[in-house]
Amino acid sequence: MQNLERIPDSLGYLVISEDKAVVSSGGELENDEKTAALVYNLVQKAYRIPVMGDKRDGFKKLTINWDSFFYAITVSNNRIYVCKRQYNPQEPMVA
Amino acid sequence: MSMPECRKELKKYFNHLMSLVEGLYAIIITDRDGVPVFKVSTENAPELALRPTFLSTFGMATDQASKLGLSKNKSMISTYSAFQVVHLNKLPLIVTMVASSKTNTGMLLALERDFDNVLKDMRAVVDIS
Amino acid sequence: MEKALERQLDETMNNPGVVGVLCADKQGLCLGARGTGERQTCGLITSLAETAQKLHPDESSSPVISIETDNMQILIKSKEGITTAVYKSST
Repeated sequence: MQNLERIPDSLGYLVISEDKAVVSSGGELENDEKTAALVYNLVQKAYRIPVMGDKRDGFKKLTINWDSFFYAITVSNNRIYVCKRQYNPQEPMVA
Repeated sequence: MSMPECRKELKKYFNHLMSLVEGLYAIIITDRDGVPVFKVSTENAPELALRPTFLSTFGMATDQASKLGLSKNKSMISTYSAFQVVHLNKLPLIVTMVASSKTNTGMLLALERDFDNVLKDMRAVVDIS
Repeated sequence: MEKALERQLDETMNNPGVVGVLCADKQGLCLGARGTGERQTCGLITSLAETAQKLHPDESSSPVISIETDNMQILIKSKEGITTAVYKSST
């Protein structure tokens, strides 16, 4: 799980299992069960959004972006992987 | 699957739906007279809203609403100061959801898709044809 | 009274790569939809935006949420009680 720490500009990471338990964590997200519960909830909802034309596999990547940092979230093998990363804007996020 | 196992599976599924929407207190499936076919509720649900006398009012209301010249009435949202009630017309069955007034109404309406699968089988229970 | 919003939604659809737009109010009800944006998804996007906001220590700042698949990206942002989702195709 230390691979998540090696992500550039990583501020913290979380790995959540399918029964909402924290498998491993580090950095700013160390033992952060509150964030884990929120992310679990978020992933459950994001999976329900129908994305046209794609297989019913759900999304590949989910990012939550603020001015100075962002969360990158993905699901693999029934586990949710979360990485909190510094955001150094080179070009603006178009929304 | 035996009957008690069926109920347990259904309860698990409905409880999962309830956890998806914050503030959803009860989901009740009844026939048009308000007789409950299936019910899940938390202790936050107002007792009176779970009774047949309340649930049957939608049966009459949806009939009248269908006469407004806008074709068949599909659903009704009733808002009160502390609660909101969303009814879905799936005759011969009626789905009633009781939630807090602050709950995301759009999410409650989006649950209709999840009910359709379950209702297909439940319909056989109340069908007289 | 929704003319201004309808015009804005049409303008958004004219941007390169945009295949759908959705606008929802605080209660998750649909204010407007275009293209691949389905009205029933409005409840979900409002709920998503609300939950995501709780991830920041200062809960009043609203993030930009990006959901990516192989061919599509959905961008969601909430401002002043209105949540907007833009569907952008990457093909």
